[in-house]
Amino acid sequence: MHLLASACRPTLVGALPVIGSQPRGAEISNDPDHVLVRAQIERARRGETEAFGALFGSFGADVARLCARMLGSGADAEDAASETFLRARRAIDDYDATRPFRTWLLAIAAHRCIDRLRQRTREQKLFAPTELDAETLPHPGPSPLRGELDGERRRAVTRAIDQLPERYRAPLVLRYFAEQSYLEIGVALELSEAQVGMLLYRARRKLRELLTEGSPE
Amino acid sequence: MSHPDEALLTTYVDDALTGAARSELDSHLMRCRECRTHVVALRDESAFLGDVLGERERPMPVREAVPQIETGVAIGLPLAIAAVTIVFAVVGALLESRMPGGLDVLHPLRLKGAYEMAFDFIFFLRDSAPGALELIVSLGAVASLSALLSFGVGLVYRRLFGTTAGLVMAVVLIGGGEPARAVQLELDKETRVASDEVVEESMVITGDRARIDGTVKGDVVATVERLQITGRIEGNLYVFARDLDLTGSVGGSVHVISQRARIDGEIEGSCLAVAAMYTLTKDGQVGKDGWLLLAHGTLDGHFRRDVLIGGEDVELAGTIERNLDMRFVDQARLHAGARVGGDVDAWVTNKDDFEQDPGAQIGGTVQLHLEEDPGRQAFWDRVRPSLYVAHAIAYAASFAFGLLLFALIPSLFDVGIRSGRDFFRNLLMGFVLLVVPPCAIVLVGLTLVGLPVAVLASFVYITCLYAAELLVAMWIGRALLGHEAEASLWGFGRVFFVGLAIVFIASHLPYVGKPILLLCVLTGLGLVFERARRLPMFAG
Repeated sequence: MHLLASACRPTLVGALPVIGSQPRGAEISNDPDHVLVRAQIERARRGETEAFGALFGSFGADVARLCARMLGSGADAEDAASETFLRARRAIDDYDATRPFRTWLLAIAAHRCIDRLRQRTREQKLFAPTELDAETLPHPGPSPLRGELDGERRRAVTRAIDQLPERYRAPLVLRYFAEQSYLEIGVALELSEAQVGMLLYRARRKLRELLTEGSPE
Repeated sequence: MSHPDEALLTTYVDDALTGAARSELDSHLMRCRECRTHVVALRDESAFLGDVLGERERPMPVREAVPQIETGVAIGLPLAIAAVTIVFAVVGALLESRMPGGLDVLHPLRLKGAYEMAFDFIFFLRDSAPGALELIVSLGAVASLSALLSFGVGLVYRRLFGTTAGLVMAVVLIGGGEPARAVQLELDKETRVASDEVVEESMVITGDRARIDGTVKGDVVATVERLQITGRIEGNLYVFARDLDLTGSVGGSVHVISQRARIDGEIEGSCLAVAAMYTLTKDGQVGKDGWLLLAHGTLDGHFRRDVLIGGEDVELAGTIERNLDMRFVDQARLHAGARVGGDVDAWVTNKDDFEQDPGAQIGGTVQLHLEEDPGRQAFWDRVRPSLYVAHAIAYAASFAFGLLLFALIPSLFDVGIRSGRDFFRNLLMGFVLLVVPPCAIVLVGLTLVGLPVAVLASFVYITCLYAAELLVAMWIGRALLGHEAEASLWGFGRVFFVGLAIVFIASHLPYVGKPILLLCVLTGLGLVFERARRLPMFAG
């Protein structure tokens, strides 16, 4: 019983670890204690180039995807991604091992992308609250999105996300893909948490509207 | 608090709401089904967005929350239910009236056949796939225990408050985790404690055969095919074996489930036995009481206190110092030389079923309680008012349990059967769920790691059987009163009260009641399965 109890304790809140499966960025994203990643980070801190390579191999796709979502596919996104890795390599000593590595890395990527967005529009107030946000939305709006993700629906939703204005798209990507908290998004966008919440709410509403307009169900 | 707006709910779903605002919304959600549904939808949307942005697959379609009866297809449903109910009722009533002579063995309530089948099945499985079986069972045990624990923690954590729940679980884990060093494990094919050997600790034995000629200072827990004890056990003995042979002595009590048990030595405590063939020889002694459930019992030895026997065939030639109580015995014989210090109470069908040799001595009185013809007795049973009081209490308990379940897990009752095909599928699933878990529990219990798991699983199984009936009651109530009636606890209670009353009355009808109850349990288990399949951990 004793043995049994101690064997079960680590699995209280999660599933049993799957033996023999290859660790992928998406699967280990929320597990700051993942043995492999932790070992790689340790080695990276000691300056081992190979370990950096392995880390970037695991999370590179996620970084690239984030940059592409925020900046559109193109040279700008690629530049932001490589900048992210340079920055991460320099800052690896500041990484707090209690947080998931993926979130930390994507936060760096988010800052790179937002800087570029600001440069692009040459306007610092890109994400500041405007009168538009004060306007009340009709109630009730379209119901929340759900359902199966076949190829066609995925394309439709992706297209709708790309159509969103940057001020909506950025927080949406940061929250639901990079899994940043309201506080972290607020720091990146220079907004209060309440304003982040309002932007996200409006982003979701807008997205639903775009999709219901596109395909009357 | 009026309904919170969607912006606030979005913040809540994103875990960005803190402090008083969060607890206020929490308590609103406890009360408001509508907002809970909205929160679930928003949460689904978050996951959906994560999947789109991360380009992950989402193969499992998100199901609608509450299946409702489809009016169009429902024509098939009453027909299906009626047909199955009639079949169950007729077959059940036939079974319940007398079985034809000579086919007694087939009767599911007889001990003999069931025993042999169970033992043969378990030992056959263990012999033909020894390694694989134990591996599967122990993996299953660990997985089910961790699933149970995480489910329990999650439930308590969400409904109550974090720290206390954590403490409770910690106490359970620490309290349940007895120090392993006090137990000596024996996993060999054959275990033997030699006559000059002294085992200072408790022993847990699994394997083919075990023989204890020496002394064990602690308890012995054994799951073996054959156990032979000629030495001394100072503690208690717990045995699950095909064959138990005790010629030595036991300081504590003996608990045995076996096909054959022969007690030739001395038991200082009580003897609790479930056995097909039980023998207490002339030299056998039990220091305290005997609680025996037997197919065949031969009692030639000595009981120092009371004996309670249930079984088919009992022969007594030994001594019982106090009272002898025989329930549901087919044949009982007190031979010459038998001695009972106190009273003898025997429940038998006919007077001839109880035989007393003139040479048998009885200190007190002999009282025969003749069981009436089952048919007539069933009728008179139903005229007694006390029966209805008991039913009313049981009904109130079920109702209260249902309300409690609804208060804790309202979505548990979001189940339903939509068509005749659904109904048959549920029946089949229910049958599997009714039969497989007990077998699995016995198998899990056979391995060392599984004993506590088997106990836990038994509790879960029994709870599921109970919940099954409640789900069916809710479904019936909903079909009659409509789905809209149950917006609050009060509304739920009304619908549930009606449904439960129907199930209760139907399952207590004479002759057809038991088959209907079986039908309810089967359907309900199917519903439990349906509901479990929609849990987030299975729905992916």
